[in-house]
Amino acid sequence: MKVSWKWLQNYVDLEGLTPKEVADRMTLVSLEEEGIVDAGAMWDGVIVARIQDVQRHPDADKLHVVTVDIGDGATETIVCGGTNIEIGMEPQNVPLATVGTTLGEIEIKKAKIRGVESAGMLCGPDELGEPAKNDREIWFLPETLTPGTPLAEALGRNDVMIDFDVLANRPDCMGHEGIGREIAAVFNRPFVEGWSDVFKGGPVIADDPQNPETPLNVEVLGENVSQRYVAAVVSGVDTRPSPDWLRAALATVGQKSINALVDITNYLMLDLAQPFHAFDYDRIAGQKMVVRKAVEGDTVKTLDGENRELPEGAILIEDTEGPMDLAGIMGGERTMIHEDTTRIVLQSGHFDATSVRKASRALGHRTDAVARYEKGVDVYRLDTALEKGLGLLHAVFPEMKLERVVDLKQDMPERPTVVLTNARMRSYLGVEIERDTVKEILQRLQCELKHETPDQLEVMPPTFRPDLTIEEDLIEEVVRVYGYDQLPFTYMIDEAKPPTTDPEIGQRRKLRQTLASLGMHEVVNMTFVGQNDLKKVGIQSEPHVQITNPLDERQSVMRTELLSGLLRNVAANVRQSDKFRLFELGRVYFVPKQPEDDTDERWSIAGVIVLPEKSSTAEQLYRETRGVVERVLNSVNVQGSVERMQPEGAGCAYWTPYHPGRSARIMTANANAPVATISELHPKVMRAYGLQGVRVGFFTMSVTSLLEASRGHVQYKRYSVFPALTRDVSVIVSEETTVEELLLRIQKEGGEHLESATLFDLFRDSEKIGEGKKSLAFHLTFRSNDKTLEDAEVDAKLQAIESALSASA
Amino acid sequence: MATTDLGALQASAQQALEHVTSLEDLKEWRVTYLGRKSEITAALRELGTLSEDERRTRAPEIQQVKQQLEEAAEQASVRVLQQQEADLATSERIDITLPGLVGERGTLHPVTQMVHEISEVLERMGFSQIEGPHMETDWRNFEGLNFTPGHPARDMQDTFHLDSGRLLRTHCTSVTMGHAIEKVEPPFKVFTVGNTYRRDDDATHTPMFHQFDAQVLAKDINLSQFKGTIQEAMRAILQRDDVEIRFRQSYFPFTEPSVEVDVTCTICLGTEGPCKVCKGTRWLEMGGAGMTHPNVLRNFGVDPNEWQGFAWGFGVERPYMIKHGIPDIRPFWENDLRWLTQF
Repeated sequence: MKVSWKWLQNYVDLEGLTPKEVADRMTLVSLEEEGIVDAGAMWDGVIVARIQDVQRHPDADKLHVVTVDIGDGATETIVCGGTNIEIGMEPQNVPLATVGTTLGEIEIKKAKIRGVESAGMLCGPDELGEPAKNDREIWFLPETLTPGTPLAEALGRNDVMIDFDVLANRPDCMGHEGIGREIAAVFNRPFVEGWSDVFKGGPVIADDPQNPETPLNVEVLGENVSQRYVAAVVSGVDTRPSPDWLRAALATVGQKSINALVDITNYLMLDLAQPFHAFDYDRIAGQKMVVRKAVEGDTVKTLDGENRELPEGAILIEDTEGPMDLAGIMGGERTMIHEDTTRIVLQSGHFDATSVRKASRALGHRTDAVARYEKGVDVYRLDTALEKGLGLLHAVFPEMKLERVVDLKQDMPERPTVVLTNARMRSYLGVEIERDTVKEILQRLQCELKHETPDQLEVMPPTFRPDLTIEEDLIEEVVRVYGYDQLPFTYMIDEAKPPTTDPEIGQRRKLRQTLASLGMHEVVNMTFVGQNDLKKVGIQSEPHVQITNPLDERQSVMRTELLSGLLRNVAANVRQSDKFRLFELGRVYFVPKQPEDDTDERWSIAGVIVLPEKSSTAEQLYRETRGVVERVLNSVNVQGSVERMQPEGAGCAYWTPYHPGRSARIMTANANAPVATISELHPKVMRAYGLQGVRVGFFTMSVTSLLEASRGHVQYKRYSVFPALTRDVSVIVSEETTVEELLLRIQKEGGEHLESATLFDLFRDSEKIGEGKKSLAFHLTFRSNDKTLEDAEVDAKLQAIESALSASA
Repeated sequence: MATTDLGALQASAQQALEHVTSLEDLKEWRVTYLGRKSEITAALRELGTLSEDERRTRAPEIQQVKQQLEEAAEQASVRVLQQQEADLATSERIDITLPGLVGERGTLHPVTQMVHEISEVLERMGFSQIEGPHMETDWRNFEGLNFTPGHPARDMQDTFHLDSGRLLRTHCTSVTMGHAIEKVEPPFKVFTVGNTYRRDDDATHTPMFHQFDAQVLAKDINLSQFKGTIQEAMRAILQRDDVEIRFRQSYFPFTEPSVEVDVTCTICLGTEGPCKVCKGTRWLEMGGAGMTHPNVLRNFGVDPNEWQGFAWGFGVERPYMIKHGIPDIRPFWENDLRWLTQF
């Protein structure tokens, strides 16, 4: 809500306060300042000048040398390139930025332009921050201005605009009157009930002549349409331009002047927070206005020329020719003010907030009127607002005449009283505020004191504060005006139980740290994906939770897996690097079994490992991926065995990102489902993501299964104090032979003292060891728990192992 | 008949010892002069061929020389080690500008880092961390929080709706108010950190972001205590004990009174001149807070005449952006390694 500093002073004396001081305090107490524009300061140094003579510039085709009167008989010579400056033109008033003026970033200096000295700059509206039609034209000011006068003063614009953000529960602050009242309360200055001079002298409603020559039949149909509809028929008006003060006031708050009638309705809304509309009385067919809810098929052509199909429940006004007004949102074209309008219906109505809000949203059309109606207007004051409107009309059209007043009241809202107890307020604030202070603050806010006891106050909030209905509302009123900064900083005496954070939360923290320690970079992706992602990552037709109003098709379903996000990240990063590791630990979402009352969200982990294709092997990729998984399982004490995924759909009906020959799953003894899957990305998924020149391995885990499979705390085992004997053994086998088979043989022959057997070399060379063969070497450690082993006994075992292995060669 | 001239032997051994400059030399010297094939060993062996009397005088002489040579060797070993160690600075010098060798370091996402820090601070202050669903009911996200169906504040939070009938929560207050009041026995101090969603996508908004919300529900909890608590919490989270907080009047359906909480701008704290981050106001907005609205307590099953609470809901990304001078929220979800690996 943009307010004019001058306009506010109709309601509150701001003597001794600067706009900044007011804005800073109001920001804390109720209205956040979002900008201050001081047009007077912005135009400092710009004066009204009158063009006396225009000569051709001797040295430039597009420039003129202009002599201007700058008041008191003085003149200046200015070089000017404005396209509307011509030799022999009529004298015009124009803005002159004198030497020393700063406009935005430009400082005006005395300068020679192509050899001719220029003492300033004639300005276009755009150069002064005003809307301009053509950007090369000089601003022609009204003839009546006196040369030499500062421009802001001459235009009545030596005013300051403050832009306030109005809170959603403060409809009263959607106008200058309300903001003035709020400032008066906060700064403890008298509030001037808004009968400033401009509103005085008009007809009063009490003198309603009910002129039979100007009938008007208004009907309100149905519930939740209009609690009160107030309007007046006025004659003797026209579409003359607005007086300067009105134009200036509107210009300060960024409103264009149209004509006096339209400007008056705008001014009234910006002043009283009550939207007004002026209908052309003579264009209302049958002098009949029916206010009702729209039904299917109703259309209105609004004054912006749009033919609008109305959503059901929108409020419209129709005359005998049909709907002619989109009530609460925008007037209709047929009955709006026309050039020849002389009689109007000035409407100061109430329209149901929810209906207006819904219709506005359905139509995708928001207006200043909607912004006020949807918050709620003060039905008690529609008549006084209308009377101010009549006063304003009278100020602009002294010959105007009130013909008739309509005031249809339906169910007026109740006015509650609210009790504020000392005890509650002290308990809420932690400090005691003196009774006199509390009373004074509430009275400054125009709450009426109804009853008082030592323990409590009973007050009736003003009609323009429908937000004040319970005790806590009053506590807020008192403390905000009293000042939150006056409250002390104190601390809690703990009654609450010490923290009992869910252990799984801590486990997830640890899992993330483990993954990061393995060289993996954590990513966080948006938790929604698109149908295209599902297709790319090979998800079959599993149902997903759908977003019914997505911003974008690419963010329209809730993810059921983390891989597609990671692959998007891989595709984006692979341009910079061909070797990196990413993981995400986050929620995935499934269609709940009972749609209304349930939600199915599970924590999942996925990681990707990217290696350059040329300098790596598929086995290396698998082993690095498996290595990460094993370390993670180890960190939460999970033991599992690896098993090949079945090639048909790689063992999973749900999706197929798994490489049929290079995928495995880790099974635990106590679970049917795998605790992790490890795979190279299926070539078709690689293609779908456009991944080339790299190998991509991935793994997935479910946090819940992982923690369920955990064997809890590691239990201590006595370690052997005796030295180990180590031996290496190698064997050449065919490609089909697995490491697992060899290890089983080693373990079988190794006996009770074989502590560990680990693969340390894997080697292929078709010339040296033959096609389809591989050489594997294992490192063996023997140790006994109760003695130092002799070389001889270990060597005997080694021989047995060697012969068992050569049997498989 | 004694053949070995002990004096000459000792003299030549001592002389040879002076040329010893390394432990290897010393080892060799020992072999030569004290080893099995040394003259001294030969002399000892000769004793057997001598008469009783000769043996009696000769034996101590040999033993004495042997012992003296042993002692001299011991001293030489000390000398050699001292010489060697005195020389380490040049003899064993390496290039200390060689780069460090470490395994590839992984990183935690900035949001995770911030979440962990916030959680640690609040747990230290005695708050229990709780969690709730991202796919929430209208009741816990809106209606139970005192947003009536036609409430204008619903427009402030444009919401993603789901075909399941639920919606994506627009704030974590659904957890700290809805779920907490339903499930946790008061008095309690709870907080939650997590995803929130709004139907908003522009330069400063992304449809998903994170919040941390908390509520203290007790018999007599008040706004002054909230002031002290939140100031200490923000100092710990921002790791600056010179930041201050202030309250600004605000409006939320689920709190009354409602305030916005600002912290002093840590970017321009103690400096002069214009600041881009706080736009010269010297304050940065952290989020909303207030005393839990009585209707909310009633809606979730607690008597507002018995219990009262304060609550807040702040953004997670914003304090991180302030701490690290990050100008834009969008890269948080782009997951570009050039960005991620900086933090």
